[in-house]
Amino acid sequence: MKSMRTLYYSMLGLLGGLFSWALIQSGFHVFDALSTTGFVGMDTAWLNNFIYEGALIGLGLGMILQARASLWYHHDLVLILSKMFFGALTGTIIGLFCFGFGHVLQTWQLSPILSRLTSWILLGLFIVGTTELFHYHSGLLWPRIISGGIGGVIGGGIFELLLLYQMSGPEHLYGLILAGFSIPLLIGLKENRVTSSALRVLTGKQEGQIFLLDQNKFTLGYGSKNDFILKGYAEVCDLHAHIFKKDEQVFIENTDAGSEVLVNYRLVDQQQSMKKGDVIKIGTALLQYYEI
Amino acid sequence: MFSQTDRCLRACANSVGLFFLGVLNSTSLLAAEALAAGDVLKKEISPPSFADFLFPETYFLKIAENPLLNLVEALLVFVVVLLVIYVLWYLRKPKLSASSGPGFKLLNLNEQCPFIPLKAEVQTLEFLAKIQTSKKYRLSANLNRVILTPHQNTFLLEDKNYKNALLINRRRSHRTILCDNDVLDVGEMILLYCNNDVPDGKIQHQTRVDLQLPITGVIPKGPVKKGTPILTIAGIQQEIPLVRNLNTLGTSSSNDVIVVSNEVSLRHAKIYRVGQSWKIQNLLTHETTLVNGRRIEQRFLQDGDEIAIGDIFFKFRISKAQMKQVRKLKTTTVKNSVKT
Repeated sequence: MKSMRTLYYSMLGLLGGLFSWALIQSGFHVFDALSTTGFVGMDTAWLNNFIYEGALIGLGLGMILQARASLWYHHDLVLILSKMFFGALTGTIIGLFCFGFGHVLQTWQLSPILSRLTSWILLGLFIVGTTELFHYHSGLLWPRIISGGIGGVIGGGIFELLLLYQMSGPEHLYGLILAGFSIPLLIGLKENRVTSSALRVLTGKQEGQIFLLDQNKFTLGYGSKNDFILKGYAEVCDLHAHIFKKDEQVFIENTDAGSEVLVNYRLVDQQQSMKKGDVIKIGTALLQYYEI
Repeated sequence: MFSQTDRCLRACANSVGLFFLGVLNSTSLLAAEALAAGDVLKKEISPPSFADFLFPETYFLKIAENPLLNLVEALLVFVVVLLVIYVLWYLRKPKLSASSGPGFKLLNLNEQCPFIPLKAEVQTLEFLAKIQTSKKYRLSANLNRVILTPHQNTFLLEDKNYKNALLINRRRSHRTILCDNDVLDVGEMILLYCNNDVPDGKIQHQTRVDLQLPITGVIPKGPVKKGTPILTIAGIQQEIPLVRNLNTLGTSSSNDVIVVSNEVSLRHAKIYRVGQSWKIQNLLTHETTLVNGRRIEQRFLQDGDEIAIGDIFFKFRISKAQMKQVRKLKTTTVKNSVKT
């Protein structure tokens, strides 16, 4: 299940790379058309400038990275689209910034390869960093960001190598795809190392879904801000329960007086540690905790 | 040196100012020109235009220099990528089991959750030993003594041999009507009882007391010793012994004492032991608990106190006599001693 998810994320990253490549390609035509119609200040210099490409790469990758968990857990389309939009927006800004910084380095007469690599690393770090901003309680902030950076290094390195050897055909496509592939792969590998347990939904509309416990803290409930969303169940609150890891043990805690969490059909008073095979009842939803 | 810093500055202005260019086009242009005018060295080499200032001739990726696709093809790739993402999302849709009728699902890890249909002819749980599983599970040898009888579209489970390690909803039970989504522990096997035709709550539990009474649910059983408090409901001669040290009162089925009333909330109050005495505590700020007509938050209870939770009145008293269960035990021990 864990490796399945990593593969899924990497596939999504690959698609993100392809997406940004298509964007760049179509962007050229759009700018071309604009310059021929005599739009003020528009000429081919605009699109030959790297920053736009950086922005488009950031757009594609940011969009995918932000929405990857929602896609994996099959959330609502509206939620995914809003996340994608937000990710694309932040990714664009980050892409502008990172590749702009790379350009600054280049004007500082740093070798182009090094400056480009720097911008890739920064892109990896910042894009993962911003996606983590919305999971600030995850407790896995730095490992994830660093793995994003390493993914950026690998992706950017491959990109550079492909450019260096003047690969025939669409070398930028391969480079972008590999860069997009490696960033989520690295994050996924990092997440896999810390994942040792999972929750499986036993009943109802989300039957068979598995929530992998790969962070240190989670929220569970009906609302769309939660890490794990339980939809289609009666008596589930907006923010129903907290799950957190402490000393190799996983605890569950109900959030307020209105929500009831039952572990093995016994009401959780404050917080309760969970054992392998425990059945958790949240509203009408039945979940099982198990270790992988 | 000076020209280098100048170029650096220009690049900085370039990277930061680009994003705001659309909005602040005119202002940034002015600022750029002012910056360029301040630079004497640069001016001597070539008079910089606005476009030169923002877009130096250093190609970074050169991606768009020679586009591979035309606009339509690029847009096609674009749409295909979005479609593939949609398909990936759709593939993750949880698959609902379309099985109907009663049956069991195996919940143990690494089992593929095969649905085991439960036929009406099945009389005992013995068939569990014959199920093909990836791992061998230890089961009790006396499963033929666990009897299943059809009952209102579902099954009544009776454990005739108390030595079977059989838990229903993680509680020991000898006689239960199985409801949808009940969890059974049979030896090492964990089973989920599914019955899509009869959803949970439609079956009236046999163990439940008449629903007309304000107090429903399984009244906690246990030895009633001297000093165990007993709640008596005003009007009805229904006695609820509080055998646990902490008893919660409310409408939710997870409470120890389940009160059915519109005026009572899910978890309304708790009565718990403090040393030798008993204390009542109101659990919600917006609901009231009265003791002897006074609204309280928490208070020690005396024998004979009147408790009001919502619109239900209880009389709290502490039992002074040993109950029958204990006496029975005594008689059996006497008999045993006679035999020996």
